[in-house]
Amino acid sequence: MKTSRHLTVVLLFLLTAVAARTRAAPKNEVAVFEYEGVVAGEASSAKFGMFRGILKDKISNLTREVLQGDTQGFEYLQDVHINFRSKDTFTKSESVNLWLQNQASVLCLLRGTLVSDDNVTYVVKSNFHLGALKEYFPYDVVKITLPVSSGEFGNTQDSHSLVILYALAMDAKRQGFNKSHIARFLTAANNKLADIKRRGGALGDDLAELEKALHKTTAELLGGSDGN
Amino acid sequence: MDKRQSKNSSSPSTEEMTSCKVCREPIKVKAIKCTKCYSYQDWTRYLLRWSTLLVSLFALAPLWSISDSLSRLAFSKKAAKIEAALTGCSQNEVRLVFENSGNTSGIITGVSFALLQEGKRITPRGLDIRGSQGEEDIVVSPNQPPARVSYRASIDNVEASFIPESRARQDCFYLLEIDWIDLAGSRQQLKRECRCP
Repeated sequence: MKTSRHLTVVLLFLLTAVAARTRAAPKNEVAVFEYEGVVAGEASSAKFGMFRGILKDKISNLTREVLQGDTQGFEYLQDVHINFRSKDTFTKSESVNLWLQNQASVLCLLRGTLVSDDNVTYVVKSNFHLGALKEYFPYDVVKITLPVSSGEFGNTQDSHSLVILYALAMDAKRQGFNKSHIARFLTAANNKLADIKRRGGALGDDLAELEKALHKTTAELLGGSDGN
Repeated sequence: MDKRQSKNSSSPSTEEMTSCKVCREPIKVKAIKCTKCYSYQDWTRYLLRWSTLLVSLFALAPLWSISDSLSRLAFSKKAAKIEAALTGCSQNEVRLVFENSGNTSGIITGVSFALLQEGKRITPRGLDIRGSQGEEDIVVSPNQPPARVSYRASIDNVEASFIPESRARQDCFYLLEIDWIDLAGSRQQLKRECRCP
């Protein structure tokens, strides 16, 4: 009896070790392409620079928020970063999906447009491409907007942070992490969604679909058995 | 000279005579050299005779090589022989060096890329492979420094990786097929492989 218990413990240990070894590499790059409407040397270029700074800030705050001091098992989050790529030359959505399949380390791809009515107030209209990480989200692209203002620095209660959190949750699932690990991202995403709703009222089309996808994933996670 | 003449004149009948081995003129039996044709009477006379012939042959040698080169240029078949060496394979770049050991220029018209895994050939979808020379074909001429070209993959002009995300790294090889033609129009293909990084 005692021997069989020992054997079970050894077997479980071995299985955990094998699972850890075979886990897929985490995706840690948020690829940002140059937005349309950005003209070199003009105010739009400076505003796009500001948007890049905002995104960078959001990512570092977001990972800190999820970690909440407990980094065990989440060490890979420290490598999540923004990579500003070259000009956006994609001609069709299929090419973007192909590119995402090709890039093993890319978590999500951001392209979009920078718009302003008065050359003072700028808004970014971002297209988030999640590739295979879209899971239950029905479209290839999540379309969201964000004002480019100094108030956005340090703020993570926004739709860009929400989509990145969703992508991180789906990537944790892809990597084969257990329920509690994935739940950490899903809880943070649900909290963000609730906060956006509270401040802005009704969600836009894409955010409403993202909410559905989040709920579906959460329900699936709670209903299924725990992984490794 | 006078002494020698007096010596000769003193005993002309006592000297035994023979004929030169080269010109048949009468000379003394003990003469080393003929007084008429100046030929040596021992074996060294052959050396002189053959050395003239040898010198003539040496003089002909450069003429012969020049005429041989000219005839090769005029009558030999002109063909290019392009050789390729893979000098680097990374996820985003493949470097090749081309050389032509033939006698006429060759043109590299295209390079296609595939992955070999467990003996299967996989062509990554949607990848556009471009060389550092741009859109133009590469002309590789004989007796010229090798042409160095680096190839990069892209999708819609956005840099991409040669290895798609889903491919396992084990038992993986890059396969490059290089198409080239020579000026006579004959088409050839080279295949080169390197291990996936």
